[in-house]
Amino acid sequence: MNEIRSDNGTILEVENLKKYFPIRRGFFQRINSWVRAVENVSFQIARAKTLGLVGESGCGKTTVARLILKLLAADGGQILFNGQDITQLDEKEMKPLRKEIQIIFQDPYGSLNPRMTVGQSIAEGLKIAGIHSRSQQEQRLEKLLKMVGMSPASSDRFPHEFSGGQRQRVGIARALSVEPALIICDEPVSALDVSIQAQIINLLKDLQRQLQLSYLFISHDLNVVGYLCDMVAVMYKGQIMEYAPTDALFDDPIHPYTHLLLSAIPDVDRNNDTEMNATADEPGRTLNPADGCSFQDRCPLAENRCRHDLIEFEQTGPDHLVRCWKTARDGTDSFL
Amino acid sequence: MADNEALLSVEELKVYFRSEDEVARAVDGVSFKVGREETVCLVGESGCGKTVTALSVMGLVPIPPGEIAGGRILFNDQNLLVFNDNEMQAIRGNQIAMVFQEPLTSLNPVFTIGDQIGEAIQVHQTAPPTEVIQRSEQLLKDVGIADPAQRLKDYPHQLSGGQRQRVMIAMALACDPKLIIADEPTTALDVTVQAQILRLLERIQKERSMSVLYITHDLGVVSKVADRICVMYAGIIAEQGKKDAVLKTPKHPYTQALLASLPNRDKRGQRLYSIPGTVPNPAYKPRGCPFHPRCQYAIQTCCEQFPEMCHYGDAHMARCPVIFDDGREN
Repeated sequence: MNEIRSDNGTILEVENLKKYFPIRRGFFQRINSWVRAVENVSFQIARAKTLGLVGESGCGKTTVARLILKLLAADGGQILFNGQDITQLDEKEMKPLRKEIQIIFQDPYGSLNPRMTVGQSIAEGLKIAGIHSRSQQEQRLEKLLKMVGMSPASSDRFPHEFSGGQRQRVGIARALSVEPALIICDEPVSALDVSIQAQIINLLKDLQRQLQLSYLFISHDLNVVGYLCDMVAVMYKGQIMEYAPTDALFDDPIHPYTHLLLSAIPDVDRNNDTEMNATADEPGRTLNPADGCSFQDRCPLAENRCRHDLIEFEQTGPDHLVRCWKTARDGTDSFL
Repeated sequence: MADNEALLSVEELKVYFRSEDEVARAVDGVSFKVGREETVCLVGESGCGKTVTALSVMGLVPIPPGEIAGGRILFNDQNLLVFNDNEMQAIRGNQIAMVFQEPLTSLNPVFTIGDQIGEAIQVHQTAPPTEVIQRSEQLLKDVGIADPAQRLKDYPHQLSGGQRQRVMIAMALACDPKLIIADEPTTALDVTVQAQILRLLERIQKERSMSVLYITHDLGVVSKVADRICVMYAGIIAEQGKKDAVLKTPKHPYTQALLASLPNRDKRGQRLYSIPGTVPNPAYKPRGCPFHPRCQYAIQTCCEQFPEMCHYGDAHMARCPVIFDDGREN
């Protein structure tokens, strides 16, 4: 790979990232209002570590992924990859960096071309990586398939001949073909059966160890996130509500929304019958409350100040940040 | 079980699907009971036959290509499999109702919520329109939808995923069924909404003294809702018993492996157990025990002989002769 990296440090740093989508109405499609899909999102991913990004559907997780990949242009903030600001780079300048950041999708069937053999799909990436000779390609292909636990013979077969788990392996091999440093995993195991899910999770862990990969792991499944991630960012309506090392987040959650999420996990091994009452039933239809905390509609602790003041991140422990002025100071015992 | 007598009793059910050159044995000798006011979970991976089992109870297996190759389904001691279409129609939706996974595809997009709940009532009962509206409103209220009169005029797309699933449950409740079959009702929902729907189902079941046959692949959900569990694999029931017995002292290697392969925070740093291979194609199931190619304890007999049910007391049974009480003898 083309840069010298220190063993430690940050591979990706996102600072105050913003993305607003216009809502157009009427005959002239005038911009009527804005959806604040991503609002002041900041986090860091350390080398060879995994950051989990969790939240309910529509909270902006995937938009963050697309912004980092520069599939969408950010409306504000910075994305630093290996210390380099990539926010303003144009297509041409971005091209060498595209190899470094890859993505694995949720639906492995939808993300593979049904008319291309598995080998052809993976070889596309190899060509971009500058490997053009047939023999070299075949060698690499064999190695990649082996890495993801598939037989070299599978390269002549088509995606429909494989099961969901196998297809996800192909998706991973394809992402690995250009030797990335960071892989964004967008719900990579949500569509898989339990027994297959464990295989893919183990594979992702093994690859991380072998290749020193960093992951941004997007998921709504807190059991998977708790198992796989080093750090976790909890997102709600475009904002990060709590950001903490995994153990701190699970053992000592501070934000009321994190409490709500954790209490909703159905887990075989734990009896979490302490269920918190959220006041509203789901993320409301109001896209953005005008002022104050975005969780105010569902929060059992919300009071006047939450409805008016801008809530800033506060540090409550080592690497533990919370966007809730109330619990960050008072502690959490008051409502459990 | 509130009553010893079973409301639903499935006995040696076999459902096959024929195509030109092969027979897929989707359900291959399944027996279980659902007692009154009891929640029984059918758990298994995709393709294990759990949905086909549910559809057979509803009489909704398409025949052909489907074929009920054997067994009985006793509901209130009547064998549903000998009923004709009209007789089945009188039971379906009336005494046995179903809630499906994807509420958006199960609701008709061009009719209002009110039309659809009203239809569910009128299929089985004659009632004047004003009463139908009144009852629909009450049903929406029962499933926790705010402002029911207004919601009745809404179309499905105007509701959120959780609300749609509540409407589906309201429709299922329309004729006060004795048994609700819920096929992955929360799989498409967010965790927080899932928790609400599970609580709703639990409350309604208690209020109306219903039985629930709950179908899911999610062992976490099972641990929340089940009284008893049937673990299915490749068309058979591998293990069944009371919830705690199955989850805390699983006897079948497949159940043990499933539980071991669940990720959670306590296992961080450890390697997850992963079951090698994949679920067999129902048309080409291995001889003997269908799980033996993936089983770490498989012995010679497993490859040759279909395993007998072994009983462990208190209706806890597993179809595996290898695993005995303390684990892995023999």
